[in-house]
Amino acid sequence: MTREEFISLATAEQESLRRFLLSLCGDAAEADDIAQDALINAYVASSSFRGAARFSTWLFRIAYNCFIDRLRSRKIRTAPLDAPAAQTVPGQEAADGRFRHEDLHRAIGRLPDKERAALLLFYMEDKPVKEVAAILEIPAGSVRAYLTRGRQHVKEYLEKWKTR
Amino acid sequence: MENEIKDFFRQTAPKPADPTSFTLELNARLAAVEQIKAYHDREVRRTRRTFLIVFAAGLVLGGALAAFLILHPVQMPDTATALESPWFWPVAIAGTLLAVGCPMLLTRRLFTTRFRR
Repeated sequence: MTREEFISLATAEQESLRRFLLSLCGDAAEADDIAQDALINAYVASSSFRGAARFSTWLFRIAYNCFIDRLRSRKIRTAPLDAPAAQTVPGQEAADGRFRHEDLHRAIGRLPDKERAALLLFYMEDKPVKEVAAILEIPAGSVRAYLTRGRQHVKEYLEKWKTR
Repeated sequence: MENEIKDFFRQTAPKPADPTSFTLELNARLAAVEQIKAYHDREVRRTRRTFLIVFAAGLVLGGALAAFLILHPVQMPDTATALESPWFWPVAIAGTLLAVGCPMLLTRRLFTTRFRR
């Protein structure tokens, strides 16, 4: 894979990858740093990419592993609610959106890493269960279990939010 | 409920900052990786070539020595006599230094790496 080919493939996935990492760790600078690391690692290993999986699945798997490595080595705080970048929400009802965003991240921020990642990949990035399983390197059954549990947590928060 | 959760996630998805600076930084990093990769490839090629040269030289010199010994059989001096000679250790040390130093000099800093700009 040439550099130009890699850049064109990476550009298509860039926004989605950065959004996923930003949702996962909550800090925009940290998320971008992890995304850069992931893309560099992917470029270095691009000769081993044989196209057995989709490029996006492969890239997200590398990024998730980078996030886990960073989490282990530097003990980054996940999904902090005070990070200004994590509160940037598009839309007309900015204040309301921000409030809901905080609520959502409070709800999912307490979940274990894999459960949170599974939720974000499935609901936010619209990835099918099979792809989520490939990214997180766990069986599809475990992903379904994570989603069921995570869904329950989010439902509780959504209901609380509705009753406000 | 499933669709509601999906919509909620989509609506509240955080928006990453401007991609321009991210792309610029990525391009700079990729260029640096390219440079390191090229340097590494060059080093691997040179090391491989060096080993081939040393191997071929050893084969030729060994063959020549074997041929010489076969063609000119001589009575080898007694080892004990050789060890007693005052020339033994200087010759042995000089021989070892030559055997190790020559390939190093020929291949220029075989065991050292330095980033050449």
